[in-house]
Amino acid sequence: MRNRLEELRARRGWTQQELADRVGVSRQTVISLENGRYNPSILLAFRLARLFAEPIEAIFLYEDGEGQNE
Amino acid sequence: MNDPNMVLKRRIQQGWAMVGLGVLLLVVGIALDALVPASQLNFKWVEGFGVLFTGWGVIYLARYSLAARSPQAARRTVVEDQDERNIAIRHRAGNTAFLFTLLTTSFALIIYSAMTRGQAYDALWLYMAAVVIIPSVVYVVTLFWLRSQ
Repeated sequence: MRNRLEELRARRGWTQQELADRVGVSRQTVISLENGRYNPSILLAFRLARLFAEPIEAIFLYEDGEGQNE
Repeated sequence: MNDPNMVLKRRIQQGWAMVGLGVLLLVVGIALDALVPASQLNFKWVEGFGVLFTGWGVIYLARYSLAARSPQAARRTVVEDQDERNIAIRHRAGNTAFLFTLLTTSFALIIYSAMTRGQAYDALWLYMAAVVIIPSVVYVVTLFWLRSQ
């Protein structure tokens, strides 16, 4: 799933490690999230949404049919 | 996230418990080897489990004792342990390893049965059958239990 994490993080001037520390995940997870290789749990998605003060769907860009063939 | 210091304290306690159990098994294994003549029973497997638990415990102690030295390292170590992606990766790796073990052991059991023409229900055959059946039962029971949650 595509997302705007990198853009939102860069706008605040945070490093990937800083973002990871703020939401309680590893830096590697932030890298995978930003690359779209890993889709977060709903709890992590909410934590990220709260942190950036944005609705989840404004951060994670779901497209119809995505993930249905996995 | 749970308090990193509490998590590390618990992990270090688990490490000591594993070392204690390992040393106990080693001592018991060595004592049994000395007391029971080798021709009757071989207790090397008890010592083997002792080495396994001791090694496991030492790894735990080394990892978490080092992490406990600084608050930042403690936090990072706990985050690494509880990170949802790491957990998902561990589960997938474990699932693959489980299926692979089940397949290879089943195959070995079939080959062994064929080689002995189905006559040998000895310790090795029973062990391999148990290695196939018990994890399969645990797998199915766990699936039903999790689906009923």
